[in-house]
Amino acid sequence: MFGASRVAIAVSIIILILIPQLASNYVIYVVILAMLYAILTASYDLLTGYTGPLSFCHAAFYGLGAYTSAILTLRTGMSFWLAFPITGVWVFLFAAAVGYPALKIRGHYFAVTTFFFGHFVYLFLLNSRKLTNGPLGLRGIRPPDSILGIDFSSLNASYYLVLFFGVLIVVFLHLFVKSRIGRALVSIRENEDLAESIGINTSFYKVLAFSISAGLAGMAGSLFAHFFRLLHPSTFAWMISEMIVIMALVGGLGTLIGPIIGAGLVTFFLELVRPAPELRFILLSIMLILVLLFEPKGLMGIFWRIRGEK
Amino acid sequence: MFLSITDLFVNYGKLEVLKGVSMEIEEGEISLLLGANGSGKSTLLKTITGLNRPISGSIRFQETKINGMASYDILRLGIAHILEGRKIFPLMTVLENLELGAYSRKNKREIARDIEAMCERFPILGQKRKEQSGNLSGGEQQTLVIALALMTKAKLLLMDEPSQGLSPLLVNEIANTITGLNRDGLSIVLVEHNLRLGLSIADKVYVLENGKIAFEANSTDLSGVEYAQKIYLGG
Repeated sequence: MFGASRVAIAVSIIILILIPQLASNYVIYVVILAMLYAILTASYDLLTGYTGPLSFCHAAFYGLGAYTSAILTLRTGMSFWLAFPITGVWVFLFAAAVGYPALKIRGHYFAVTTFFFGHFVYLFLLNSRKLTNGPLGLRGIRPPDSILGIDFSSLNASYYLVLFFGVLIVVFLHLFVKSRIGRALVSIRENEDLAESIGINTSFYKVLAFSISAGLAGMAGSLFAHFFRLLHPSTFAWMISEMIVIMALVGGLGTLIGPIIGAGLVTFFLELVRPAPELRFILLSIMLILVLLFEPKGLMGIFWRIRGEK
Repeated sequence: MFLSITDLFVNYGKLEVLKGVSMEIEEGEISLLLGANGSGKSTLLKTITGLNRPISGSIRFQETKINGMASYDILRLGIAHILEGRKIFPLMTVLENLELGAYSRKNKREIARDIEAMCERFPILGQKRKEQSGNLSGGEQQTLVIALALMTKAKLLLMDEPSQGLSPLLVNEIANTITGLNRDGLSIVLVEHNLRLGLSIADKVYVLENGKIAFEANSTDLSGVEYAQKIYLGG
């Protein structure tokens, strides 16, 4: 089983590397979008899939990252290569400050709190005109400065940039959830009281998972900002947070690879129904209901069932 | 004194649950905590291990004041708590559960040795070490719960209703396990509704009533019927 999945991952990465050589610009553009969503769902999985707390504000951290990185480079002339890690650290710290009090609330109450926090961030981005240019959007964001002669204003270079950091982040997440700390996170998801009773500092680990998850979403936001070079608050509205939740659920929470596949599938599905935008979220909701009714573990659950595993 | 509780008050919101509990627990003993439903037995255990915060009063363990400390720090001092309701990590294997029990410990070689010792002490866990623990039977899960707590290397074990939902045969097995652990030097505070089990192994009995210790005695002082009267009809 392990060998087969390694082969599948290797084949997928080779296909991803070849896409810019074979596909049209439109396809490349969609795949970049899918990869950004994959970073978001994978980082979301660390919190909700592995640690347990259900969050509805992942797009808020994505947006904070995008705006932070854009404003840093626009206002101070800072290079993307410096703004990118600074954004990650800043969103991490910001999330720690928010998560520390918020994660004292458990269960549904926490989920509702994150929902309102997500909406608050959206309203902040929309109304802080001096900082974010509000509903007019932030323009003139520069692409990453070229290094080694690679010009990142080109679509192909942007593609490989997102692919490179996407793989890096997913590998990091994979190693993290397999580590001793990862084991502690899963123990919190399975039984928080028991985890606490055997000496795991559950509040610390929950805040850690929340902050790392947010920091990575912020970095995805930074990549987005310097690829699209135009930011609008609606890109980070609550509906996007819901979409990340749906993508992760469709793929299978707590599996890391599942949410990544979910991100890919849902992105392409949304492109297919682009001619009928009002149908998109209705169809998405139906997809979600079907998954929850028939296979709560998502596509990974179906995959395991076919293989006869639990 | 091993564990010393003085004038402990605990509230849930406005509801007063413990109203001045004082007790002294000696090293090496099995202390049985009795009381009707809602008398505050589980609350008392949770307060000792930092899962509840007292309003006032003090808890000292081997001369260290532990009320106000975080659960994980209290555990490091040597008090482990088996929560009510057979709590394990159901999606993890037996082995992974045992490893997590030793989470607060650093020495890997010692942990590996202790896991082996656990599997010898409880052969059923050894046989099923690779199995998902949620698939074990009730009795096997209760054994795992105890083993999990032992992996913390506690000196004092608080057990909340270990016999709950188990068949009489398994109850006897749990009783044997508890006395065996006690013989090896572990001190135990036991909350148990099964009077026969509790009285057959306890050294000392405490009856909690209306948020206070209404009565304490050596387990041999009174008969089971007399204890039952004290609990359910008032001490």
